[in-house]
Amino acid sequence: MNSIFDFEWLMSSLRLALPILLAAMGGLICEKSGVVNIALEGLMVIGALAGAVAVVATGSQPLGLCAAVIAGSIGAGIYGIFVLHGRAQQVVAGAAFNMLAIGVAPYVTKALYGISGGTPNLDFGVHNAQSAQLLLNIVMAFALTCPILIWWILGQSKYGLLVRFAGEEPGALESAGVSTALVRTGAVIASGALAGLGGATLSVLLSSSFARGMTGGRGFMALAAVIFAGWRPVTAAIVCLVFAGVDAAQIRLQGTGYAVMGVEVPAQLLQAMPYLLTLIAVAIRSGRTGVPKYLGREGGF
Amino acid sequence: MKAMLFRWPWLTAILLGLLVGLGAAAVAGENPAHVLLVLLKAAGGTPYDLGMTMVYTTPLIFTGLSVAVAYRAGLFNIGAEGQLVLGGLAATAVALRLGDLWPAFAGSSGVMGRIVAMLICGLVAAAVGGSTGFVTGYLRARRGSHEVVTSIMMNFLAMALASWLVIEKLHSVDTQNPETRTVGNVFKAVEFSAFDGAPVTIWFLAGIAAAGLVAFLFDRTMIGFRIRAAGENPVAATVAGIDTGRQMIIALTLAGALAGLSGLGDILGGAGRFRLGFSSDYGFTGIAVALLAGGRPMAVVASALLFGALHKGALDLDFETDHVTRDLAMIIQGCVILFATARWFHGKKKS
Repeated sequence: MNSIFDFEWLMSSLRLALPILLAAMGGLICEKSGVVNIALEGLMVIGALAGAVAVVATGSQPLGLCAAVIAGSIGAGIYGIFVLHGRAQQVVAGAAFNMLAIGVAPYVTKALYGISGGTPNLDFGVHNAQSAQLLLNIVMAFALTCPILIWWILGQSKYGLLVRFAGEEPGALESAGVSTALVRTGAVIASGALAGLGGATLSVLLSSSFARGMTGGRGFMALAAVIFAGWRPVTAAIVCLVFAGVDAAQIRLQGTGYAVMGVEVPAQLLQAMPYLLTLIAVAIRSGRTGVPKYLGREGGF
Repeated sequence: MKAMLFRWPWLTAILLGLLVGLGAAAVAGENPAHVLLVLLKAAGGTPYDLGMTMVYTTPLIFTGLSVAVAYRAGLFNIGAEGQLVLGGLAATAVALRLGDLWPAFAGSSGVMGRIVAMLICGLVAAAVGGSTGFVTGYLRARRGSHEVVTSIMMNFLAMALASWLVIEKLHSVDTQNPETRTVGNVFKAVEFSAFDGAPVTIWFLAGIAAAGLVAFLFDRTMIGFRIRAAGENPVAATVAGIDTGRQMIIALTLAGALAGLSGLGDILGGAGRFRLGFSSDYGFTGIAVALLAGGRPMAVVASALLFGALHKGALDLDFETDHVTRDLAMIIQGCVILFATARWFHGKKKS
């Protein structure tokens, strides 16, 4: 048992935390501005796809990540047009956006590579191993400082104030001559950039291709982490790290097999642990505290 | 033209969704007219094709109703996917167990026996789906946990549970595929023979009947009225003495029960066994079905038929075209919902 939680477990937890942590930060900014973001899952799919496609095309991992950020922003922009300009019901539009993204991925890979299951293997070559590790470390450092950065931006800066007002008192924002729609559009696009980057870490950094179903509900878990954390960035990051820690532990337990009092715990139960944990977390902490007042509501325009 | 666009926003949404889908096909190098023709032919070109469209429509009626019931209470049932898996699996497990206990009953084919068997399977599936929905409803009403997040997590848990049960506990010894044994003859759903072998079952009619019942519930009973009141104006409902939390629990339980029934046509018709992954996202498509129908139960049937036809039609894209796959249906579907929920075409009165 104690052999599970060692240094290697810690490192794999940190790696697994990358996609969900980045997506959670995106979701947090978006929700703080008053826009529900169920679309995180789809934005991650788009990011993972775009990242892998760009790496296949250019052979460069950093360019792959850039492409993912751009694609995620564009995807979020489309979502934003529907929910902000079209005033679509945000949960429904988010679910529809996820469907769209899940359909677009095989469409793109079929058109580009003739297969609908994913991208070909991204071959970085052996000589690139070092730079790949460096890039992973840079993204990791960014992801870990991101919560503090966002906490500072939301709490201390002028832009953060605008975002918080868009979510709490859009009327006051309008009275001050600021367009709520504009502030929310910015927040939605920022969420797409971060979720897209999060998705790309899956396909470009943590594995070496895009595969169908790769995101595996991580966008939803990121959202659950935000809600559980009461829309506080640093707390949300910690929740994400806990999720990832459980995930890392269950992956290792699957390798060795795990028994409680002589009874083998089925692999399916181990795989379900992160989801079970999320469910329990959301059930314990109701999400009634800290919820932006105008979340999912129009207002001010 | 403009008047038409605004009078029927759902029609506009369908047309725009198709337009985006066919446009995407054109960009990929397909002739959009050819793609449209494949979709239409594969959805209803022969009695068999039409039958298969109805086979796919059957679960969508139930999941569409499920989402619609929750929607009336102001809630989103994203959990239909997990509920239909658990409900279907429970019904299969009970049918298999009863088959072991009373082989004579399971092997029979009398009309009364089949009615009893259908009722047993239906009740078990509805009860299991309903309890899953109840958990979501309880967490929403009494703990304030967002039903979208909890029901998505419940979906993953349902899949894991089903995978464990099918592989470890109910697995058929005759096959490597992740599926259960075949249920006894009496449990197999009655099939219509008019569709050249397409397994259109009695559950298609049951779905239409369920739509009628849900319509009756909402239009004519106090239960339905209270649910609608809680959904449309929670504050007014509370002032009028309605326990809105209770209505949420009732609505999501009912939604779960309806979703639990969704898989029975697929499972008990045709093969007569539960296969892992038998549902091609029926639960999620149910969201599209319900939304396009505006939450109206009888419109759900028409909407389910449309999405059933889209699903069946898209299957043939895999071998009738070179550059697009069945996944084009997801693109069209996603766009239809996006355009249906945006209010560009809703005119002024609904704002």
